[in-house]
Amino acid sequence: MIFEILIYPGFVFLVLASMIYYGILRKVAARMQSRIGPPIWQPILDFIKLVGKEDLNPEQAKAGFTFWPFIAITSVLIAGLLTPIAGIVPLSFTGDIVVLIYFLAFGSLAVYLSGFSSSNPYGVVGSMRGLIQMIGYEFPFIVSILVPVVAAGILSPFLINTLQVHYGWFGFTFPFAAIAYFVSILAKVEVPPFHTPGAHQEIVSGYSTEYTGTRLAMIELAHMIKLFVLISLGIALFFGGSADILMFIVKSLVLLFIITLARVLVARFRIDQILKFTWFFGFVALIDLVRVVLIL
Amino acid sequence: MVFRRFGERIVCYARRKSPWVLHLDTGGCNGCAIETFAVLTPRYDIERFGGLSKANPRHSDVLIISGAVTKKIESRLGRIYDQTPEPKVVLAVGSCAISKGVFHDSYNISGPLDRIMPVDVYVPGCPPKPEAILQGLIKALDVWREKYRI
Repeated sequence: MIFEILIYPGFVFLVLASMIYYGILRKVAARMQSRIGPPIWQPILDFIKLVGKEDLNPEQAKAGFTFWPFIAITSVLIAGLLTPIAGIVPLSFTGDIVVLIYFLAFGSLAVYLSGFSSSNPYGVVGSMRGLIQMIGYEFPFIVSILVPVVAAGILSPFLINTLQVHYGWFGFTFPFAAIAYFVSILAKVEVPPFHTPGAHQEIVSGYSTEYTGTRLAMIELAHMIKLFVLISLGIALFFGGSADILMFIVKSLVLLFIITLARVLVARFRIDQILKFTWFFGFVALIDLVRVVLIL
Repeated sequence: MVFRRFGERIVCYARRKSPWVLHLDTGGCNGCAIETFAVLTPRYDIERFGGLSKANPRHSDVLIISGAVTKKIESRLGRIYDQTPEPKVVLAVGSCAISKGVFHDSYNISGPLDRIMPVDVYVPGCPPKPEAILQGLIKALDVWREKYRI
């Protein structure tokens, strides 16, 4: 139990694996743009460098400037503990998928609140865009998660995972919900076409504009862990589940490859287009939800 | 004590492997700026050295500054230097940043870059080739290692 929470698949594994996955994303994106690209352990080096840098506190920053990034990474890590990774869940109880949704949402919210508390105009604009985007993507995210939950009649991602391992993929039975879930992964981790909150051509670096050193490292790490957690939750809910580590790695790398394709291929949406797009997919997922409710 | 030294060495290594770059054009003819943008493109690709182009002094470690320093930008340049967190290195790219170049008698040029901020590496040329800028960047990382030697 302690080993599962702290080492595998708990904190140490989550942090290292999410960094390596982000490194793979950067490397593959670089190869697609016919560059050589960084080594796949580059995010680890970036993280160590950022921890070793100076922490600057702007004069006008609010009190939350110092602690919101840490709250963001804490809530995302707890969400990681509730997610089945390779058939193991460190923390599991009845109804944990509701808690999981809350912690994932709160991880994003804490990052945006850190942007607000920095009092930088760019940070505030980035956070506002992020919150507007949240109105967009939470709807398809929750509706698409509800589909396998209602179909299985269980509120636990671990049990849904084992159910899929034995009885086949929910992604084939409910393709619309799976697609909507994938779109909401893209929106939640701000991969293009949804990278409006940190759009560096328009608003310098969005919510992280004023952040340096350790706190910037925490924001970046929370972002990477969120990507990893959402991929593994997707595998547990739609893409056939994972009984062993090999199956998990294969499935998650395929999902990561598709996310990388989206990151390389598409341009940025405007904020109103994001709302239209995500809500469209919310209603697409709703088709599957209605199907589930009518069948049962 | 031993652990502390070991940790500092790891941080020093990681620092040299991930230079995040801020490019700033301070005025002049834009020739050096275009050559610096070429460094960021897939052909010369600074990401293979771990570098990223960040348009934000708060996130960056290496300041690549090109062009003659005009009177208007002098105070802003100082602020950008102060906004960059330590440890940082500064590259002066092109003849104008090093010694005012062809603008040396102009009424609105306030002097070479090293009168305004400490410069670590000079990349000469009018404009320097992208390869030269890239070599200057790598050299800056070595300077960095010596400057913040533990």
